[in-house]
Amino acid sequence: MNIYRQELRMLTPSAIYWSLGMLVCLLLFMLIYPPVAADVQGLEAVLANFPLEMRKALGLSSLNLARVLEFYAFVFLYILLIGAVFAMKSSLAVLSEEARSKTTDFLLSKPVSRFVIVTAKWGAVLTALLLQSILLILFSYMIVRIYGSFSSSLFLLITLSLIQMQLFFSALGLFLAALVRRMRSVLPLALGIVFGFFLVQIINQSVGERALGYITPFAYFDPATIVQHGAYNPTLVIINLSVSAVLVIAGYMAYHKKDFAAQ
Amino acid sequence: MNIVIRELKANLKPLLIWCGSMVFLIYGGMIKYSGIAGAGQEARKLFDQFPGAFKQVLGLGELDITTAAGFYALFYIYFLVLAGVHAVMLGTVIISKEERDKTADFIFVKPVPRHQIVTAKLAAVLTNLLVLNLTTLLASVVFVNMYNQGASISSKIALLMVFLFIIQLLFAALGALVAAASKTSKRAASISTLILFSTFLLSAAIDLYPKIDFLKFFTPFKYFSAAEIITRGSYQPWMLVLSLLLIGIFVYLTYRMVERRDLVV
Amino acid sequence: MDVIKTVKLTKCYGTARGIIDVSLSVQEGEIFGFIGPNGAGKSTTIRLLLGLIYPTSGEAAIFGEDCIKRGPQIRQNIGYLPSEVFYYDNMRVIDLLKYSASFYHNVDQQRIYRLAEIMDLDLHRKIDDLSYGNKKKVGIVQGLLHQPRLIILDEPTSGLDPLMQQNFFNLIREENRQGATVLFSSHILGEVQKLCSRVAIIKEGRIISIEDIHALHNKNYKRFKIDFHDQVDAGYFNIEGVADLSTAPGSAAFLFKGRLNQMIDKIHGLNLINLTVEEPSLEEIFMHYYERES
Repeated sequence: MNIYRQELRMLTPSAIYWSLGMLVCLLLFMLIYPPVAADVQGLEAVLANFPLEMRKALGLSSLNLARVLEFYAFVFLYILLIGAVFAMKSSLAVLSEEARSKTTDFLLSKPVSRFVIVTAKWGAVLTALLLQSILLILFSYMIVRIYGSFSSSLFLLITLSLIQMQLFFSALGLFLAALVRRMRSVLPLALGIVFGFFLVQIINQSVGERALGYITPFAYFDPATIVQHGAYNPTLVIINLSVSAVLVIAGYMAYHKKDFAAQ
Repeated sequence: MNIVIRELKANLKPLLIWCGSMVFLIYGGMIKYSGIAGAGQEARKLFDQFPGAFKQVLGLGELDITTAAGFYALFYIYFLVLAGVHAVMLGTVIISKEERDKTADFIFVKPVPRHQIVTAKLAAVLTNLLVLNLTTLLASVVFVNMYNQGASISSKIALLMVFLFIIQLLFAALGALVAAASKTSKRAASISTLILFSTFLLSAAIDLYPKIDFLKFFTPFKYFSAAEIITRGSYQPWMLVLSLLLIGIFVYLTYRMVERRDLVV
Repeated sequence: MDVIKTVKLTKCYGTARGIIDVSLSVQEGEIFGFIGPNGAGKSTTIRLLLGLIYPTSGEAAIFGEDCIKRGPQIRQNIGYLPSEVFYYDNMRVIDLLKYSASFYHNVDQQRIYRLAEIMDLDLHRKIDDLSYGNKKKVGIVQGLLHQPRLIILDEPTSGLDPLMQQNFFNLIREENRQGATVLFSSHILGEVQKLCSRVAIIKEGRIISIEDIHALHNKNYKRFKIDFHDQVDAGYFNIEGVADLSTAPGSAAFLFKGRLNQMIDKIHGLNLINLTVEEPSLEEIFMHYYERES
């Protein structure tokens, strides 16, 4: 429908920039892969002697950075970071747009229900995220392939964690935007929240998976863990989907009930 | 003065949330430490076997992370990141908000010169940064002492906080400059975000591959090595000079650009 | 003395024109009107006077001092009512007014309450909750509370109900009586007609003319509306001095400036049903000005 198309059009430039950003980040890191791999190669033996807890504490987890896919997994954590901020800020922006640009009276007086409005907007965000993932899978594959061969299925598994992570953050963004009365600036909020979760995961990486592991989505889709086990943790995938669903539903309800003040 | 008080009030709630997050981060971190402190002697032996190059790769240098001091230093980079996000956004938003919210027609029509308004805003930023810094200091000292079995490192922590403050100032000044130079507040926020991400990722890359260490001039996160500070209490004076110089330049340019702007509502 | 004086004030936004060679002077104690269609450059001129934007060339002075160089000092004595009013979050009206007052020397706090009462403004409500019109009222009180010598109004009455508009005009007249000079920018000519002594007309960035309101009235066209039984050509009334002619079988309406006897002669022979001769509104005069000059 028209709202969907309009929203998607408004999202496109930003989506392109951020996708490019992610790819550039990947590219630059891959550029230093060969020398790093060479360094790590020699130390692999020594690393093996180290207790796992210690290695985790050092922020190394169990990745053998000499191997292409595991290096990719290491870098992918940062890709996830960028993608998460993008997902959250897009959701926040799209639902608070009218309030911020004073076009509330325009859109909300149209003969469409609020349900339709939210669906159209969030649908546009999801579309952008999906397209972003597709772009990323294609180009990342090409980039990483230059440096070696690896299991495509594992690669896909790692890379597909992006869209799942983004699902959570965009759901969170939707919820917050629907709840908050006036949102002046979207990026500070998105950055703060995502980096907050990210840093919790950094701590979490060492404490052990228990308590902290559930509060941060970065733990659900930790690339290193995925590589280790060669699969997602199905429980976590389901929790992620459920929490996202709950947030989205709550968001819909909040937006439905919202009083839009005069501009 | 009146503008400063206004800005402080407006930023109060976010500041409290940031401080709370910082405290939580430090607390969690020290709990993590308690996990490996127990590894104690054995770990130390193994660790000593490490070839120096490897320790370099880990960015540890001479750090002994089984001690509270060593661990804290390792951990320090993460406060830096959080504080950096806070600072750069604070600087950006405070300068661009008048045009963003269209209150420019109110405040800039008042009988005060523009530079006075900028000064008031920067004063508010300074206060916010200071509060966050002192909170971090307090939380660090308290939580580190809870788990520290060795000598007190509170003075070293204090030193680290000084450098944290400098990095905060740097990012805040940069954010303010970006806002002063950008046409719209949206663009300013985007550029500041880009800068933040770039500096953060660059520091991660340097950690990974120290041979590109020469690039560290482009990322404030690498201006001061926590390892160096906490083990020897020393730092590279050139980086300090560079930081202060950059802060000065950014602030000066911010004033200049706000002065010359056409204010659009 | 010249409270406001601009000399060839020009502002270009890249290739887009803002204003070009605007020269005007406003005398102390005047209520000076500034009219023109949307986008003509009224707001640009005002923003230049207030130092919110910088001129490309030309000079602007208020109270004899340069608007840019002595901006902060000059603005002690200026009250500005913008056309669109935006304020900070989570402020009550009284908080905002007190904040505004804190920038000026010697503000009489009682004046705030007096003004609020005249404008029927609830001081304890949150600004966020106010309607557009009520926000405008906040703007009015905010602009006047420090008893400025120069009051600059930009579309001040949009959003106000007729009663409030009257209160507002009375307020302005009272301030003027007490010595304030007023620059009144609007595209609602009726208001300008009521308040102003002189008026500058701006169109497409340039000043077309600066006139005395009364002189404008005297240069008058008269509006004729005639209904009659006769059959006449469409061109019957189209003599020199006639403008805006519209005819239909049995009726004609037009503006006429010229020897009235000439027109009366033409009407005299007709079998009249109805004849109306009236002063055209300022609107009609200015529309004419706009069209003639373009």
